[in-house]
Amino acid sequence: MVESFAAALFLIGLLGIVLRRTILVMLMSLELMLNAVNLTFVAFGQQQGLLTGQVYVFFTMTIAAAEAAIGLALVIALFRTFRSVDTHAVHGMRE
Amino acid sequence: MVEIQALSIEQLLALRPLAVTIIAVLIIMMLALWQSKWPSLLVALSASAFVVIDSLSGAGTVSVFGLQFDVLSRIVSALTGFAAFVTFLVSFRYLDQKKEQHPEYQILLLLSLAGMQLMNAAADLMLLFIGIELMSLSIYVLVAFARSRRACCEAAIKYFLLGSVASAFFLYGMSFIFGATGSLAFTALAKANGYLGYLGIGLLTVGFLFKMGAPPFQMWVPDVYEGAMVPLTGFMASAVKAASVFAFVRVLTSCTMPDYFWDLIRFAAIAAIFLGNAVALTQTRLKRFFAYSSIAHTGYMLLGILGGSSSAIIVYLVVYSVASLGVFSILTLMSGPDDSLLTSLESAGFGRRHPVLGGLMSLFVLSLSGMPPLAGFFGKYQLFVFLQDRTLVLFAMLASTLGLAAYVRLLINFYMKEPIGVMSRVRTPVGAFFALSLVLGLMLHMSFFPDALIRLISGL
Amino acid sequence: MQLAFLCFLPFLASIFNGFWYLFAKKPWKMAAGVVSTLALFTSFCLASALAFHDVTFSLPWIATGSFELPFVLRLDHLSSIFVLVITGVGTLIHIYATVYMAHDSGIQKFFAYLSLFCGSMLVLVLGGSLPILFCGWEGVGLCSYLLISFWFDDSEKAKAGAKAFIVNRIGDVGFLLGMFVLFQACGSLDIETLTHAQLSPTTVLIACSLLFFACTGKSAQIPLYIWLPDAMAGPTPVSALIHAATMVTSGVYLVTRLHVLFDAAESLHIVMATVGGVTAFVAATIALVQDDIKKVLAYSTVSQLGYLFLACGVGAYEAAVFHVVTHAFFKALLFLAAGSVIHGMDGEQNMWKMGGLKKAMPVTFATFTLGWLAICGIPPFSGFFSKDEILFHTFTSGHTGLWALGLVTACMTAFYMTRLYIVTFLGTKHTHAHESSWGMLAPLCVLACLSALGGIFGHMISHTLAFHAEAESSQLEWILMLVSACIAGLGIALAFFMYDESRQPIRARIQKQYGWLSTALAHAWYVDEAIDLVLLKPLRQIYGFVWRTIDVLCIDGFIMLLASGGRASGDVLRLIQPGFLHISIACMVMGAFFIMGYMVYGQL
Repeated sequence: MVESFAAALFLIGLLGIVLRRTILVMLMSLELMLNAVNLTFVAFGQQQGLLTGQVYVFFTMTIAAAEAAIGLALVIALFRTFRSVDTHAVHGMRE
Repeated sequence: MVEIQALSIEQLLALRPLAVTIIAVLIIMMLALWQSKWPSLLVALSASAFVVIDSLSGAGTVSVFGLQFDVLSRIVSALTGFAAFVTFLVSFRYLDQKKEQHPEYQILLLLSLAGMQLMNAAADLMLLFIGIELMSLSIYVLVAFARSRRACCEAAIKYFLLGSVASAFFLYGMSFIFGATGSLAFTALAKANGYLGYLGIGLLTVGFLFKMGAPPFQMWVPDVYEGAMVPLTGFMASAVKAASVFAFVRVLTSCTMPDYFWDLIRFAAIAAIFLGNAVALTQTRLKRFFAYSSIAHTGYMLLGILGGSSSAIIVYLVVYSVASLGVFSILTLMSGPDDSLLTSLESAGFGRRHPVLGGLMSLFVLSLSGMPPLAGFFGKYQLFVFLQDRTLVLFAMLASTLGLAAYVRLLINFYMKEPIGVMSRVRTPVGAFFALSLVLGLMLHMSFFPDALIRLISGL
Repeated sequence: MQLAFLCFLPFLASIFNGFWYLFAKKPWKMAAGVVSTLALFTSFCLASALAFHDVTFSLPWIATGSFELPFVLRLDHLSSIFVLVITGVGTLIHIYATVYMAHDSGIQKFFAYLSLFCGSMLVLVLGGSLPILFCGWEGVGLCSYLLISFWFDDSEKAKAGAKAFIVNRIGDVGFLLGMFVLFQACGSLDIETLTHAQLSPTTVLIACSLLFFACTGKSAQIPLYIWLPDAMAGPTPVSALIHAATMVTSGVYLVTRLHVLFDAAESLHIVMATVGGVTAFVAATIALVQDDIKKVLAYSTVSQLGYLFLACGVGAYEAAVFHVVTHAFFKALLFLAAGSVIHGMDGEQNMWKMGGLKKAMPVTFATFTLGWLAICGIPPFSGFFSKDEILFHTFTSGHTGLWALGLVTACMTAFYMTRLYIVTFLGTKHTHAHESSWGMLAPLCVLACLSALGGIFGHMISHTLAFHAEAESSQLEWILMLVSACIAGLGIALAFFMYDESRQPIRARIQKQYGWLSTALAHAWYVDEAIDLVLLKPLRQIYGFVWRTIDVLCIDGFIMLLASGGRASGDVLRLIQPGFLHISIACMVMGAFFIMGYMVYGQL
C-alpha cells in the first residue's frame, strides 16, 4: 500500500523530469524521486519488520543532499555561460 | 546488547588504500591554502601510486563490514589507481595551458578514486551505491571544471541530470531487492526471485548500463566525452568504465538470472558494438570518435559478461584501459591551448610530423582494434573464447572489423594525408613523457607476456 | 649451445651490416666485409671444434595443443661435412668478396645479404625437422634473389633475380606438398622420427617425388634449371658462393638427409638418375658453345649437379656428398678466378675478347689451371676421384646406359673447359690486363690447394657416413678409373686440337656445316623461348582476365559495397543521438520502462 504510493511519487518525479523545461524544476523532481525511494525503503522495512530499511534511508538522504548541492552548483555554472536554465537552450554540441 | 566486533590487523590493512586516498584529499585541502601547485600534485601522485602498489601486494580475501577485498577487486583497484596516476601526470601541464590549475582538480579526482575503490570492494549494495555516487558526483564536477567554456558546462549538466535519473532508478531497484530479500548484501541477491526481485535487478541494470555507457542509455557518452577536458575523458574512459563494469559483473555473479534477462544483455551488447563502430566511422572530431569507440568496447565487455568468465572481463578491462589511457594522453598532448589538432582535418599528417607520438598512437589504436600481436587481440580472444553462442561471436568479429575500419581511417588520416597549413611541433612535458612510457611499458608487457595477467589474477 | 652460436653468428653479422647500411653510411665501408668474414670464420672454427660429434640444440618454439614444433638444430656426421664446407669455403669467398666489392656503394647491404644467406644455409643444413629445414630453404631462396639482383638498376639483372626466385618457389610447392603428405602419414616432421617411421610405400613414393621436385628447383635440374644461367647477372662472389658451393647443393643435402625415405621409394630411383644424367648431358652440350665465361661455368654447374642426382638415384649417397665437397672446391675456385679475370679485364666477360692472360695474370692462371684439371677429372686431382666414384657406382648398379651418358658428358666437360682455358689464358693477344690484388688471390690459392688435394677426403667421407657397407676395391674399379681418365684426356686433346690458333679454318668449316646446331645450343635449345610461348603467354591472358573481372569487379566491388554500407549505417545511426537534453532524458526513461516492462513480462 505504502509502496504503491511511493511508486506514484516516483512516477510524478519522473514525469517532472521528462516534461519540464527548467533545470531547477528538474532538480526538484529528482529530489522527489529520491524521496520516493526513501519511502519505499521504509515501507519495505516495515513490512518485513526490519529496522535496516530506516537505516538505509540515512545513507540515501545524505547522498541525495550531496547530489542536490552539486546539481545546484552545476546549474549556477551553466547559467554563467549560457545565461539561461532552459533545457532547450542547452545544445551547443552538435553531431 | 549489540556485539561490537573488533577489527583485526588484516582487515585494517586492507582498508589502507581507501584511507590513504581520503587522507590525501584532506592534505591537499589544507595545501590549497598556500596556492602552490607542486605539493598537491606530489601528494596526489603518491596517493595513487600507493593505491596501485598496495592493491597489487595484497593476498587472500579479506572481509570488512560490507566490503570484500579479493583478487579481482584488488586488480581493478590497482587499475583505477594507475589510471589516476597517469591522469595526474598528463593533466598537470594541460591545466596550466588552460589556466585552470586548481588543487580542487586533484581533490576531486582522488575522491573519485576513493569512490571507485569502495565500488570495487563492495559486498553490499548500499556500499556499492555510495561508491558509485562518490565516484560520479566527483566526475560531474570535474567535467565542468573549465567553467568558462560552454561545452564543459553543457556536458556536465547533461551528465549530471541523466546520471542522477539513472541513480534514482538504481536506488529504486535497491529498494525492491530489499523488499524481496530483506537485505542488501550480495549474498542475499541470490534469493532475489519473483516479480519484485527481478524487477529490482532490472532497475539495477538500468543504472549499470547507464554508467557503462551501453545502449539504450548511451546518449550521454559522446557529448560528455567531447565536452570534458581531454585528460579527464581519458580517466572516464578507463577508470570509470572499468569500475562500473566490474561492479556490474560482481552483482551479476551474485544472483541467478533467468534466461530472458540475458537476452536483454545480448541486445545491449549487439546494439553497442554495432552502434559504436558504425558511427565511429563517420566522426571527424577525435574525442567524439573515441567516445563512440568506447561504446563499442562496452559492447564487447557486455559480451564478456554473457560469457560468464570474470577473469576474462578483467583482462579485457585492463587491456582496454591501458590503451585508452595511452590514446587520451597523446590526445592531451595534441590539444594545444586552443584544443587544436583534435579534429581529423587539423590532425591530418600528424604521424608524419611527429613520428614518435604518431607511432605510439598507432600502437594504442591498433591494440584497441584488436590487432595481434598487441594486447588488445589477446583481450578480445579471451572474451570470445568463453561465449557459447557461435553466431554471436561471428557477429562480434564482423562488427569489430567495422571498428577496425574506423581506426584505420584515423591512422590513414595521420599518415597519408598532407598536413594543412603549418603544424606546430607538439611538445611533450616531462610528466606526460613519464606517464606515456609507463603506459607503453605496460602495454608492451601485456602484449609479449599475455598470460602474466591471467597468472596474476589466479595467483594473487 | 655452441651449435646455436654457430648457426646464428652470421645472422648477427647480417643485422649489424643491415643497420649500418640503413643508418650510417660512414667511410671505411670495407669493414662490413670484415665483420661478415669474421662472423663466418668464427662459425667455421666452432664447426671444426664440434665436427663429427652428435650435438643437438633444442628450443621450444611452437606448442599448441597436440602439435609441437620445437626449434631443433642437429649436428651429425652428414651435416658436419656440409657445415664445414659452407663455413670454410664461405669464409674464403667472403675474403674475396671484401676486396671485389670494395668500391661498390652498397657494400654493407651486400654483406648483410651474404651473411643472411650463410645463416639461412646453416639453418637449412642443421635443421632437425623439416619445417626448420624449410625455413632455411626459403631463406636461401630469398637471399639468392636479393643477391642476384643486387645491381637492380639494370632491369635485366633484376629480372634474373626474379626468375630465380620464382622458379625456386615453384619447386617449393613440391616441398610443401611433400611435407603435408609426410605429416599426415607420420604425425611429426622431425627428421629422426621420419627416418624411423613405418610408412606405406605409396606414401613414401608420393612424398619423395614431391620433395625431389623441390630439389630440381633448388639444385637446377630439368625442368627447373632455367634460372641458374640467368643468375650469372649477380656479382661473381655471389655466383661462387650460391651457385657453386652451397645453395645448389641443398637439394642433394635434402635427399641424403632423408636417404632412408628415398631408399624406400623404389620407382623414384630410376627417375632421379635419369633426370640427373640427362641434365648433365644437356647442360654440357649447351656449355660447348657459350661465349661468356660465367655462362660456361653456370652450365657446367648444372651439369655437375646432374651428376649428383645421378649418384643419388643409384644409391651412391657417399659419392654424391664427396662430389659436393670437391665441386665446392673447384667450382668456387673457377668462379672466383673468373671473377679475377673479369676484374682484370675491367668487366669484359666474353672470352673471345681475351687471350694470353697467362702472362698478365700469372697467379690467377696457375690457380685456374688447377681448377681446370680438377673439373676435367684428371688424376690425381679431386674432381677425378669424386666423378669416378659416381660413374663407378652407376656402372655397378647396372645402369650402363646412364654410365655411358655420364662418360660422354665427362668428355664434353673436359672439352668445353679446355676450350675456355685455351681461349682465355693461352695465346698471345692481350697483355694489358692487370693481376688482381692479394686479397683476391689468397682465397684462390687456398681453394686451388684444396681442389688439388681434395681427393683424400673421399675415404674419410664414406667412412664417416657409413650409409652402405664399403665395397672392396676391385679390378673393375681400376679399369673404370682408367676409362674415365682416358675419356677426360680425350676431351682435353680434342679441345687443344680444335682451338689452337692455327686451326681456325677447320673451325670455320665445322661452323658452316653444323651452324644450326651451334645456334640451337647457343640459345640453350630454345627452352626459355618455348616456355614463354607455351606457358607464359596463355597464363598472361588468364591473369588479365582474372584481374579485370574477378578482382576489380567482384572482390573490390564487394568490399566497396560493405564499406559504403557501414558508412551509411553510421550516418543513419548518428541521427538517433539526441543533442537535446530533454530528448535524451525522455529516451532514457523510455529505455528504463522498456527494461522494467521486459522483466515483468518475462516473469509472466
